[in-house]
Amino acid sequence: MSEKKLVLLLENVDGGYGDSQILTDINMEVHQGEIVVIIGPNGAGKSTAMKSVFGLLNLTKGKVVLNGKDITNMPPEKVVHEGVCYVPQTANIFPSLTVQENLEMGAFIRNDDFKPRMQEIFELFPPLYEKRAQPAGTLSGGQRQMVAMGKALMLEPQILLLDEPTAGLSPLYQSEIFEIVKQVHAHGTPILMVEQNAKQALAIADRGYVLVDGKNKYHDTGAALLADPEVGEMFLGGGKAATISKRKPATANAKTKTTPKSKSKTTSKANSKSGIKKPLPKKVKDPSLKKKSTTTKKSGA
Amino acid sequence: MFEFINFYFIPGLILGCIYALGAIGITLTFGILRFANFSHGENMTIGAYFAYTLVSLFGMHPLLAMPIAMALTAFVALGVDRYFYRPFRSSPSIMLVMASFGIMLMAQSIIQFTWGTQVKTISPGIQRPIKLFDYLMISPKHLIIIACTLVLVFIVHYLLTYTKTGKAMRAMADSPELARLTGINTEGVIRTTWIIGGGLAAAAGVLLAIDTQVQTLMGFQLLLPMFAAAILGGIGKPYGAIAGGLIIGVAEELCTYPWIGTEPLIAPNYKAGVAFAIMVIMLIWRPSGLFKGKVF
Repeated sequence: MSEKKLVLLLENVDGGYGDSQILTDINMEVHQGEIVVIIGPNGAGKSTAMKSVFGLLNLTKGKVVLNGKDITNMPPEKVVHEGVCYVPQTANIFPSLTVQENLEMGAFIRNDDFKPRMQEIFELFPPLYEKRAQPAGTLSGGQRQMVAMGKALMLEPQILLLDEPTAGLSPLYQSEIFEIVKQVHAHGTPILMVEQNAKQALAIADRGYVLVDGKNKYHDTGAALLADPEVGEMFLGGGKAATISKRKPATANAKTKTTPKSKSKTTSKANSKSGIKKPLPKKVKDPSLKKKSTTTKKSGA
Repeated sequence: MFEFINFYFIPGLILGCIYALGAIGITLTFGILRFANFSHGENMTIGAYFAYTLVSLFGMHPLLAMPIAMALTAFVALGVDRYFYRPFRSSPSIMLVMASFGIMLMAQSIIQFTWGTQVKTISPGIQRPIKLFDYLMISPKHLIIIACTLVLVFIVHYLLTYTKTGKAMRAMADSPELARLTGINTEGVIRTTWIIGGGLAAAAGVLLAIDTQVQTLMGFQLLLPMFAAAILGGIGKPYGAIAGGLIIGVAEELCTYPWIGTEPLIAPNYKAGVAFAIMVIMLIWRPSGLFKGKVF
């Protein structure tokens, strides 16, 4: 990975909200052209770790570096100007604005002509072009995520932060979102993503970080983490047969695992899986299939 | 039939126009700054007094004085925001509500101290109503009020729909947190909100002064019906505020019509209660308002 340019670096970061500390000694790296996934049990501080990049957290120790520039504790409105775009888990679109207006707002800080960029976004997400004049709040869950990502991409960001983009979506939409993430990535934007749906996320990830109790637990390539039996048992459900009795409470797990990278059996798998990183042909499902109720009263403002 | 239109519907429409202009400002501040601005009525009053001063000092036509009064009031609103509301920007909204309440009382006193408590007029005396189709009567000043309201509503519509700042205002009313994460210049949006809200309130005050007179409690008396209009339309929805204002204005007047027998349905003294009844019913039945606004 070292040959690729380092885009984002978190170094020994401690932080939390107010006085409560949530993150302890977090280290993370995102390189040019990578998809990096953060997984872990509920309450492990995954989203919090991501928010630390975006200045939404009070960092007490360590530093956050973007393209060589220290952005530790920089407020969000300034981080945006540095080229970081963050898509929150919920409330990530402006529901009463039309799709096109949402994209325009994404480009708020641009003073140049962003029309060509908007054209590119519409090419990336064809369903949005069809519905560009509709209030974004009337779109289906999957299309709302497209709007949210499209809005963030309007700035042509250095790095895109996605906070659980598939949360609350049906499995059909979830796969679609992962397709979208791959497409966005194929256009060259590095992505740092928090995901509950660890299996699918690791499958498209170059690397993954496992957080437990606000600390780094494991770190490896996505494929290696997928293949790792211990990670599998803890966070991936351990296959279909895995029952509740088999699952260990993640917080009580005291096993330490220092260098998961040394496993040789995982490397072959990693290679075979790496094909997935290549840009896939654009594929967007027929929007009419997932048309949700658009009968909602058109909001006025 | 014409009696109904001339003496009930048209006065209701006039009142509705004034409510609508005031309610747009209330709903915008409520949606974007997230607090119920009790001092909004004073923007109306002060706008009317600015116009009165211009009319009496320079003999200006009230309509000419109106844009100047709007600009002056917008300036006052910006100043109040800078020194009284901005320090509370990250505080709980109840603090802002209390601050606005204090500003309302202060502004009332300042107005009474500066201009006195006597009732004043700016309209040029009694006007003969224009007759249309033999029976339909409307006085010129009412035509002026309706025309001014239409022009102002059109300008607001244009601003909100086609300008970058207007779109950012709607975005911020949708979600202030996301607006900040998106890099929208939230302070700039807040300033625009005060300019639009203050200016429209001043316009409403001047129009009310043209219709009736200038008095120190004129804005305060309209404050609660304007809140009712904003809630009826849906908090944060300017078009909702316009619709809510018109509905409440017309409803207030129509309730005094002798629908049953020869007596008014509701004595004119109690017509202000109609606005509150509508507000209470809306809050119970559909708190998001007609245009799906925010629920706090």
